[in-house]
Amino acid sequence: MNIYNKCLVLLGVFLITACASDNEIDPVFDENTQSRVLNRLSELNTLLVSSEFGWVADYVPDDNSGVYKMHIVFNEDNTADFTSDHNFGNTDAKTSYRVGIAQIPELVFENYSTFANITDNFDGRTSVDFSRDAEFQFNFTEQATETEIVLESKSDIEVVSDEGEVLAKKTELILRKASATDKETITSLRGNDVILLDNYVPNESTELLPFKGLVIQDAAGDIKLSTAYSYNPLFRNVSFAYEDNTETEIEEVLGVELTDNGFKLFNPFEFEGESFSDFVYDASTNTFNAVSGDSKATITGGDLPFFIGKDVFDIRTEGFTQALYRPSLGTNSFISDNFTSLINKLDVEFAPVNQQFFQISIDLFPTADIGTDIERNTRIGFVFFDSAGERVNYFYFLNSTIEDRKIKFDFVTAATQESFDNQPIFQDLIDFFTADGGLIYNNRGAFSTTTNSFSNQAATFLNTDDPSLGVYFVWL
Amino acid sequence: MRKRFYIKLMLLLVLLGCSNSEEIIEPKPIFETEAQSQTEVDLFLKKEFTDPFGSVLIYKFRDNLIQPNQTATPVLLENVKPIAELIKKAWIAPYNKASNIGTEFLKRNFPAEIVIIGSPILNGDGTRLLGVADSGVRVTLVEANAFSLEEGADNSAWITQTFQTLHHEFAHIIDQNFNFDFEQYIQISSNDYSSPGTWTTVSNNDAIRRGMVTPYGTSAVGEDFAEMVSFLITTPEDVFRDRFITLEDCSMVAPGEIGACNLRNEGRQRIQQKVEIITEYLKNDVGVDVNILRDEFLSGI
Repeated sequence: MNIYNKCLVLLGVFLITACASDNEIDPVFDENTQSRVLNRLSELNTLLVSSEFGWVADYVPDDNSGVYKMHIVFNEDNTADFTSDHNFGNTDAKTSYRVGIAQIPELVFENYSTFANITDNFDGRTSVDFSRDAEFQFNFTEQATETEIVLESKSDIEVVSDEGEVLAKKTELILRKASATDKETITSLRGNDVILLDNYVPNESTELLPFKGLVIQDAAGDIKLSTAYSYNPLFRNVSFAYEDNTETEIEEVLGVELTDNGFKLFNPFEFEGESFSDFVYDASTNTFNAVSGDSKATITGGDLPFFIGKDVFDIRTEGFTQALYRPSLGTNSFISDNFTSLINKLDVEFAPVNQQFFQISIDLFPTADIGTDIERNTRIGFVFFDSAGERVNYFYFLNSTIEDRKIKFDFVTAATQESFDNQPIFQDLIDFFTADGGLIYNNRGAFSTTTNSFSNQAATFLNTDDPSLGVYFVWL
Repeated sequence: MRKRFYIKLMLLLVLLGCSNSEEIIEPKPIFETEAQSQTEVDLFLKKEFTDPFGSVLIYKFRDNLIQPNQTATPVLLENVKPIAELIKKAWIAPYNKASNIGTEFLKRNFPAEIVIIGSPILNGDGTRLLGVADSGVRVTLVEANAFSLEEGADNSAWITQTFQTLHHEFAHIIDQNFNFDFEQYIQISSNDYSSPGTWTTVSNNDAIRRGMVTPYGTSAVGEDFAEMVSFLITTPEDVFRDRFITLEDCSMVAPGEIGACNLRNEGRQRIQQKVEIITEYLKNDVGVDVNILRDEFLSGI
């Protein structure tokens, strides 16, 4: 066989081998990866758009939050229309949305939406913080049908213990196919959260009772439990503060779902075997009422606090000796408008003598153990700066005692002749501190205002005679 | 010859036999690009930004617009077009008028991407970003949700803040494209830049003393340049002159203040030097008259 024949045989083998295209092998998938991904995204988008009346969801951003009812219509042009019971619907803006792919298919509301607003903390129109991670991106799960689509938060992180226990789940968003009336039902709930506010009164004829609480009565009408109540509109939850029978302070924070006649607790409030969850609002008494067995729970108002904790004793145990209220350090929600008005009046009064208010100081003399009735154990100072930049102090001596878990200041005397002469100007503020019913003291953690944060501990005083007066201050 | 013919024939058959006509292999992207959106906003942005400048105004949130340790929320859809209009009036139109090559200037230098974020970009350490310029190709505007569409709303503070930031960021892009001579510039305030991370402790007066228009300008020579450019464009001439150029009468201040007053005046003289350098640079190297730019900006907002 010469070289040419060998070449011919070799080429023949190549030809037979090369042309033996085995088209009979079935591929694992009918389509390539790209097509399968695109088809999946297209299917999910079609699913979202297909629902005639859109989708509804009970959105719970995290374990501390209440329920936000949503109605979402996904449009062909990749925009979505929101209707919710959040913020009177004022933030239900149209947004573009994307069914896209990161590691897994995702649903992203690409513009500012109700979701983003729920987790946004504002200072005016500017976000200052994002509670709950600014949640507006979700991942699809395997559960996606014509009637229900289950999504998970993209920003949440699932926390699992070494033993495999899930300590923190990702927020789940379940879209359920809406009916023709769902949107209207959600619209009707808008604004219903206002009645939950601590300072809500239904009309002018109803008195604003400064303190709110939850009272549980048995069948005989005997009070079994009295707790403080407050509503947090940012998180849509209520908190109940009370003491159990071992005098241990308990604060239960429970998420709220608005209903057409009141609210429902996402997890019920349980006490001595009874379980209260459905609270019905009574406008005539400005109360919420829930029933369990023979017991009745009522959220109502009162002239006196329903529960006062033991924070006031920390003044002694922590060894605090000097408190400062200094407006230049910034403000926060614990400083009431009425208190600020009293301060503003000082600047007006002292303007003719070119003195500008700087701070209030409260000195608890370390030699005079607070809580004991030692005369002049406290000095309150109103501090100003004059035009030369020199401090001007007006001091007054008080006696402080603790009564019924409140701090009580009794006026003793002005410290100097100049203080005495100017006492009428300070009388409203002196009256604030020397309220007959005393001041409710609460620890407020590290000092934090709109402009400053310090590691120093902060606290508040609330006047029990006039609870519209409250002040936030820092311990040195 | 015949055998060679057969070999060639067989080679041809091999080649033909291996060409599988059932599948045509063409290069494709991994994911097909999204079809051109036909919404009013997207058509507007295409007409005003993409077609003339090849620039994309990104208002649809994507993870990669911010860093993993940052948090932000998207812009309100209703705010996008008004803000884009404002960019036309307060950025594009002024540069078109002030450049010696007219519209060609921004066609060559306009950033490829303008990102609009609704909130501030919050860093993990509690600080916030007011704007970002990335490698001369992207400018990010933040707090766009603070722009109010309510009738009679006063957006002047937002506009001033935003466009100071925007012109600051664009100054970095200009520097990157037209190589500003920092060797000469840095000599003016050489020892007065603040140490890293401390510019927040510098007061406005202290910045002037150092020859800079803002505390942030003291953080680095590049930021000093960008702040100067930004303030030259966004501040009325008389206001800029009164605040940063005209010397104070130190004989009128309190005795204890005279020293500080004199130092501020020295700083103002250094600002004057910087203004001259920047104005000349913009005029000769960049081809932009900063006075026209400022006047057009102020009349556009």
